[in-house]
Amino acid sequence: MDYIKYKKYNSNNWMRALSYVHKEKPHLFQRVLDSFTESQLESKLWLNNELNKIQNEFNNVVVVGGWYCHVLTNILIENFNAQFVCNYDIDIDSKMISYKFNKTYKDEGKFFTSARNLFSVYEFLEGRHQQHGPVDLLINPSCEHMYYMKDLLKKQFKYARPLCVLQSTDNDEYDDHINCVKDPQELADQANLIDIKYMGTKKLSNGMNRFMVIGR
Amino acid sequence: MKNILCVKWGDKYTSQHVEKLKQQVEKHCSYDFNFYCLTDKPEKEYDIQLPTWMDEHYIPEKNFFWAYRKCYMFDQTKIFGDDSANDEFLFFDIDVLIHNSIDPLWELPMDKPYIVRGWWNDIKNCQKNYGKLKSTPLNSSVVRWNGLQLHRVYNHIRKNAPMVFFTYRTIDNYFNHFFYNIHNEEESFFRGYPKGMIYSWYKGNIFDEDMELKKLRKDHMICLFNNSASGIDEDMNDISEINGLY
Repeated sequence: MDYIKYKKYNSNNWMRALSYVHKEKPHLFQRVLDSFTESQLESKLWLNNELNKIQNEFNNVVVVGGWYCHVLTNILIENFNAQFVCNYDIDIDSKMISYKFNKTYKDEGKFFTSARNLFSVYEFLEGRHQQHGPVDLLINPSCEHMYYMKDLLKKQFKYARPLCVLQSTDNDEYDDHINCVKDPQELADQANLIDIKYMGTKKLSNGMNRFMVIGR
Repeated sequence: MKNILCVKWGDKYTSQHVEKLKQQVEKHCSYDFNFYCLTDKPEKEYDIQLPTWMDEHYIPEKNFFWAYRKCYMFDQTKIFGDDSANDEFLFFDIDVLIHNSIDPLWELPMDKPYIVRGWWNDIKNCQKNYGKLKSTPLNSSVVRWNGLQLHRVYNHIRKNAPMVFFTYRTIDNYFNHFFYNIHNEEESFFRGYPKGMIYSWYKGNIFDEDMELKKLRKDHMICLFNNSASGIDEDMNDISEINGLY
């Protein structure tokens, strides 16, 4: 599948979100536009296609560093029938803007966003995950921006790991790419994944190598 | 008891720099205080040996500008003894120029500890770059706290050291993410000093109002010279305009 299911309510929410940022947060407008590049979409569609070969339905999803989380939430809810998606992003602006993009999902109780830093020993998963049973999927689409995922998984999922989808890159030309990896194997190693269902590399339209691993 | 502190390590600063800071605080503080320097090479009677446990987490290529040794002073009962739990503390970077009385720093409402809020920063730029781990509005060149207020910071670093050292290029970026609310200071752990008190030689005073660089403002309390993260490695003592002011 090389498209997302862009429903009427998505159109309404996304238009209002863009309008809000343009008017109220103009200093962030370019950042929001950056989240809509072709390569951003390519990464999310790639995730959709490979994950769908492994499992096609999820209930309770954690997204780590999801940024505005518009395309990814759409994919999780529309394609994988996710009942609850929580986007953890430490940036409060991202939190607020991701609510705007996902207003309908939020109003239905299917989307929530949290500024908690799950790498900290003092911060934990939002309690509302518990209403939906065990977390069965964790996605980090931006591992290059943060510390090793094994640290987070050890802290937040001591007893049972969800299926994990991790993406990263070897492109270290940006200051905020603090954790680039040389290949998908290193990405899997950083998370201590042992049961690997998928591992691959994709050259994106912007020329960047994107790595993805799916496993536990 | 009031305590004024600085931290010195490596070769960038000498004991003369510490003496100059001591002379400045003696000149500009009318309260009784103890002066201490936490250092890796104790020489003087006011020197205290710096601990070293954080060294194992230091990643030279990532943490080049990370002044993590400052954080030891937040473990104050270990450094200064159990009796210090009720003391008042004021930390200065060695490279500060004090123009006027620092007494007001002892007279602040201390429901929260204080750190320099760099008013020279465009806060919208700081917000835009928040997730990119840069453009912090905070500067830890002058920190004021009472009792055990900053023990929480010390414990946070101790318990999260590998992640913290891996992730943050400077201590001020780390403080910005965990101990400050860039959207609402009232909700922050730290409070910034008011506008017009502390300015930066290299970055200006107040964004959009008074941003002239390398300008002395003698009606202010303190001028900061720290700018190593921007690649400027000039010693404040090499600036002729500054030298005569000690």
